[in-house]
Amino acid sequence: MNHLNLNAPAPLDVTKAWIHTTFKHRRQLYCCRFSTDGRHVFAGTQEGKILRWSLAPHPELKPAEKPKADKAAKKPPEPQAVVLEGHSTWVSRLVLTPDGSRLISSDLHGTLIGWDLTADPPRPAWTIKDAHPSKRGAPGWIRALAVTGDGKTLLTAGTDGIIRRWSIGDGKPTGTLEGHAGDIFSLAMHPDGKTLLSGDIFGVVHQWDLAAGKSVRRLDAGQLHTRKENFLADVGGVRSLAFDKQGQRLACGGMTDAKSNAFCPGNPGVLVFDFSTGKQTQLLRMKKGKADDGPITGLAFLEDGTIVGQGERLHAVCSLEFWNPDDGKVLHTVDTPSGYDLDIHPDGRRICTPIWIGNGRAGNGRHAKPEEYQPHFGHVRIYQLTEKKTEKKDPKKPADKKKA
Amino acid sequence: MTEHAHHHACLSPQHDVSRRQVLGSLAGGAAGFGLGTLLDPAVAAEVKKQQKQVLFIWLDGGMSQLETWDPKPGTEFGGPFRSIPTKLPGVHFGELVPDTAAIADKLTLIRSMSTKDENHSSGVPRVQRGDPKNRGVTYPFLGSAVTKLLDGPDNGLPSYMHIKPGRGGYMWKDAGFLGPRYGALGLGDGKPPIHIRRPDSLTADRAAVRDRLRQQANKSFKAGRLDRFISAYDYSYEMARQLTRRQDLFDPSKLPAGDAQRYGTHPLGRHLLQARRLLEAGVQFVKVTSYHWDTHGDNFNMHRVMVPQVDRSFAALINDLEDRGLLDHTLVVLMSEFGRTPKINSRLGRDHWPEAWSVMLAGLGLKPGLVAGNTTANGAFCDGAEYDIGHLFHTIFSCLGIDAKTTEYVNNGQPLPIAHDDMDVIAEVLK
Amino acid sequence: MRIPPTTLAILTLACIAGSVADGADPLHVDIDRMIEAKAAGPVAKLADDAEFLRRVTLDLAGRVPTFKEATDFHADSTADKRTKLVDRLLASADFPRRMQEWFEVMVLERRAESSIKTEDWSKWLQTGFRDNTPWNQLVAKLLFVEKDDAANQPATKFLKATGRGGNSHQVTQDIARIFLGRDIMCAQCHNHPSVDVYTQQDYFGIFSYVQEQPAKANSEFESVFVPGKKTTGPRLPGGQEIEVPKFEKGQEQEAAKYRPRMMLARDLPSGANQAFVRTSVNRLWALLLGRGLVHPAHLDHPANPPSHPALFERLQQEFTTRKFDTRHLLREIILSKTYQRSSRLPDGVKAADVPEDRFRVALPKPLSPEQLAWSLMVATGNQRRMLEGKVPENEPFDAYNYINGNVERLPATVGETMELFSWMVGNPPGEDPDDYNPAMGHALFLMNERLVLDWLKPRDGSLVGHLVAVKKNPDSVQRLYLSVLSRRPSESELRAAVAFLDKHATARPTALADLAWSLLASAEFRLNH
Repeated sequence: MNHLNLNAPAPLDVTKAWIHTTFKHRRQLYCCRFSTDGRHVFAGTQEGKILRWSLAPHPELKPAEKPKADKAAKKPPEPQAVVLEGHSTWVSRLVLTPDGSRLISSDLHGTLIGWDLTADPPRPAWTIKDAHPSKRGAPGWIRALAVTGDGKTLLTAGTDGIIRRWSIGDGKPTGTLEGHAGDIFSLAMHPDGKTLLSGDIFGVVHQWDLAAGKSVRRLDAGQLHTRKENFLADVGGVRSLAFDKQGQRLACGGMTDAKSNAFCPGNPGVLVFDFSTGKQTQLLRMKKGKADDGPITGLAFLEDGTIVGQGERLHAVCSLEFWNPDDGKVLHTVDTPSGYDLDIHPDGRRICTPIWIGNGRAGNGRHAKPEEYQPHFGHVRIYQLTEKKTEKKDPKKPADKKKA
Repeated sequence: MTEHAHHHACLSPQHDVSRRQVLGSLAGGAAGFGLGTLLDPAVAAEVKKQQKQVLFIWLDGGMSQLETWDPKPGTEFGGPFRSIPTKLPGVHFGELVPDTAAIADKLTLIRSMSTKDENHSSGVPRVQRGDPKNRGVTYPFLGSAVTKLLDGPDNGLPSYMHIKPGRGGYMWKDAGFLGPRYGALGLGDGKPPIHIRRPDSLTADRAAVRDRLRQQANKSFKAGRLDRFISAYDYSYEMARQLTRRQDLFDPSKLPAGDAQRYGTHPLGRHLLQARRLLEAGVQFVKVTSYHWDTHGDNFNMHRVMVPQVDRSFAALINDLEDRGLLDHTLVVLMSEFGRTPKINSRLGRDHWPEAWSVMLAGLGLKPGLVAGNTTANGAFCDGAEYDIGHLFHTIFSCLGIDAKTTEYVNNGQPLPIAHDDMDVIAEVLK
Repeated sequence: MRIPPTTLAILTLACIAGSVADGADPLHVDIDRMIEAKAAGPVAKLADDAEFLRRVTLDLAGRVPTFKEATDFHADSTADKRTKLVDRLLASADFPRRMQEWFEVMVLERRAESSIKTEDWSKWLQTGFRDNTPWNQLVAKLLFVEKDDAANQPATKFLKATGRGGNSHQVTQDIARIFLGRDIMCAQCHNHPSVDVYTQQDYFGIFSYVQEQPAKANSEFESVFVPGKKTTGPRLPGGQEIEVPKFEKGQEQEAAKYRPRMMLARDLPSGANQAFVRTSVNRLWALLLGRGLVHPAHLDHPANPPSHPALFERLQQEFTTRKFDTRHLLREIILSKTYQRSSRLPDGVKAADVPEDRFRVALPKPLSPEQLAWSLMVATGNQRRMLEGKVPENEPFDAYNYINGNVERLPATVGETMELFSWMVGNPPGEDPDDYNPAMGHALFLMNERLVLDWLKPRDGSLVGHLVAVKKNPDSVQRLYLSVLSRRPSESELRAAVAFLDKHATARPTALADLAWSLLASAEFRLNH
């Protein structure tokens, strides 16, 4: 029986957002993406693995009411992940080709892996080490990935400030795009599939004509960068970039007014640009957020134009935030722990975000016994953005199954 | 109840005086400031002949040992940085410190510091005062202690100078119970005090005449009064005059070409270069402070940018000191008030970690090319011998030829050990 | 029996002291009794005329006496001249200015703030001290002013100061330190590591009080060492949590008007708030005596008790009974013998044997940058010139650029002079303003600063001008000492100075300027003793 066939997707209502599923891992997770067929979610881990979980067949239903739940057990078994090995350190970003056949992953040693998702389990089609060559005392991190609309070219960027182009088929380098003066944190492909946007530490956003191979415009997101006189380093940057479906609006996520380069607390914010004019139209703030928090690291537009953001937090309450980009008002807020990425499900009704979950004593864990001193956890949270439905239980019969 | 167990002893001294060799007069009443006494003149003269100097580099906030001197790549707390081999076979540092790794054979590293205080506000002064047993007095910072114990050289320069970002000014609080004379002259951004140049209308002779008159006025005023600010104020003029004669030390045009480039134009680079000049001029104790290391948030991006600033300048400095024959009689200390947590927090930062961290040393009295102490495989705890700040101070004093187990201050008749009574030198690092 | 003039003066002062409750002694009598009871050693003589004149003029007028004031006071032989001097100073225009200068440094800690004009803020403060507005009312205005209260808007400078505006944590810490005698910075993240009574609960009680909206008046917090979230509404240390009204739908107008901070202005500066009364009297005592009864003033807690607990209680009682009458409290303290002790040690007594906290001898106090600037202007005869100075057009001045050599001209007005002195001699913004560090930079400033050297030029009406005009060297020396140190020189001082002038007869103006400088740069001038 095909549980995925539903009559019609439930209406999108962000104010009803609820946590549908939590996938748990014993180490931190830094990135996540849904598969293009909507059946899986991938997450990149701190120890260099990629985990793939299967998604629940009934998105609108509470997970506990999945038909296959084991009623004898006290709680439902933890979903098992398929583990993809190949990276040696923090997996920093994931991206899929539009046809869903390839997953590309990057890590902070500069390794790129192109995974063949048609294999089961997925396996590397190619691996490139030191893709952005490290220099003495300056490791070449890769932080951002993007794929052209035709699925043929991969773009990568990171600490060396150079965007590199690769053939997705065989992983061969095909060129570079140069112009940034510093670390690049984010990439976003315009829905036209041919225009690339990139954001760096200074708040400079370049718009690249990929065919011509050069930057055709700079947008100013400098508010997301802070360097006060006594700082030893630049703080902030354009940590996330997203286009709306029509490519008319560009959102840049990060934080403004960083107080120091030590704690690096700032005021999380999203700059919204009218893409045709290149002018900033909004500065979105979190409803509860004040200064003393981290940047907005996960950013996306829902199909109705709502902007959703997720940020990092230190002390203050962070949240999954939903904004109306026309007037900048907060539509809804969901308290969340610190998170590092965000993706929208192909059905447009689900969000995944990798979040930090504390393990052990609060604070720095200083007086824990050595054996208690363990790393913090990472979870992938799947939020459902439609009203939660419950199955009516017929006391005589087992739960009904929705039929196509 | 918080974890801050009171490690302080009760207020009255409890040590056994008879075990100690008290240098100086127990009858108290030093000339001058009425606080503390001088070392036995014979010992002082001997020590003075050797012109020992100290460079104390303070990275305020807590630089991460895991991102520098004690990397644990590929472990659960190691973070994304890799490690690189150093000049010492079998010893690796983090990939962000290649210049220092290349001269590891000149350095002495302690990896198993394990200390008590995880706070900045209490921890910083505590560490810099040597964290001795509490005897109800404010102990001096290391610079004040050294300039007291070693009796400054006769070069007309303040014995204790502190190069720091921001504002300068005289920092007499460093001296604790030793009295304001042993404070630090702070050089804001390494620059001399602003009015160091005399206006043309005022000749050197006239300035000297004025000062003699001023001193005479103070002498009569001070007689029969509490010395509350009087001597300190008087002394500030003495120091002002001395410094006025050495303006060349701050003149960038007098630097060899290329020095500024080698050290780097970032604040620590400029300040370590200025520190070298002061050491060359014979300043006894130079402290250099760099702030903003407390990376509770975005630890890895920040260390990626900041650690190379230390690496480049520190290595340049060590090499220069060696080239100039200064490393033999200069003790170099590079440290923070604690390390950073192996556990990575929600802001991708590291928090305070006094449990297991590193201190880098070089020069006078030390075995070069040595790594003392180990941490566990995951870097979270010490594995084997652990050293507290008291041990470090015993060691520092020993390098300077001072036995901290038998040397004391005498403060208003109260004998006070110069370092923690119950601790001793870290023998394995000493020559 | 001949009663020495100073004692007579003191006795007279005592008789003319302010009203007292039946059967109870005036405050100044109690002060002396309680200090003497715990003296545990010989006390210094009372200050002579020169000491007293200079000290009380600095304390109440914020400057040294003029040459004329010194000469007149020494020549005055009336029995109650000291009392009259005190009352004259309290009634003068200098007193509100002096109090404004002291008070604003205490509350602003030299933080910048540009939305309230300096002149409006100064005027507001000076009016308050001139009219003897009760101390607690001044503090209340700093904490909250209604938007439509135009007259008191300058008071908002306190909360708007750089580093405080929009930063509830800084505001919490500053209010606790300045008005409640508690340095609770550590308690933001956990209970204070060494002061048991400074808890995180107390910290967030104050934090809740300083919020702008009733919805935020409940704070959630967690110790970084002890897991477990806690909450608190507005609560002062030692006090009860106040109830924050809940506003229903339709009460938006009321909700918009309510601020927890309003309640803070009601609750904190009140006689019922022990910490506030303690800290207030402690700071006023320290202002005059050079050291608080609780020392340091920002660490009031059981393990750091006052040096004279009964006296401390007595001061608090007086201040609250007299409804925070600042002028009365200052006056009573000044009338005491304790205040009037000489700074000279009793004969045969060594400095090491006189602990400061017994108040057996006057404690030299550093001049604030403002007192130093005024005193230098007055002593060198430049006060009027600077007061009348005009800012030249198109030649702006600011201390930072001046010091770094980017401004050619000298400071032309009192305002510019104050800015320069505040920068050079004052503590950095946000640092403890009472913490005096005699720095080499200050010495170099007095040695080499163009403005100071300019003040020593022999202009008409200036000090050196007068000294040059006086032909005989002994007379010049007399005038010099009276002008700069408010006293006559001793025999040996006179001899030495005259010998110096005789030796430099061919360059007399220069020699006079050098002598003058040496006294201005002396510790005797630099300190209030």
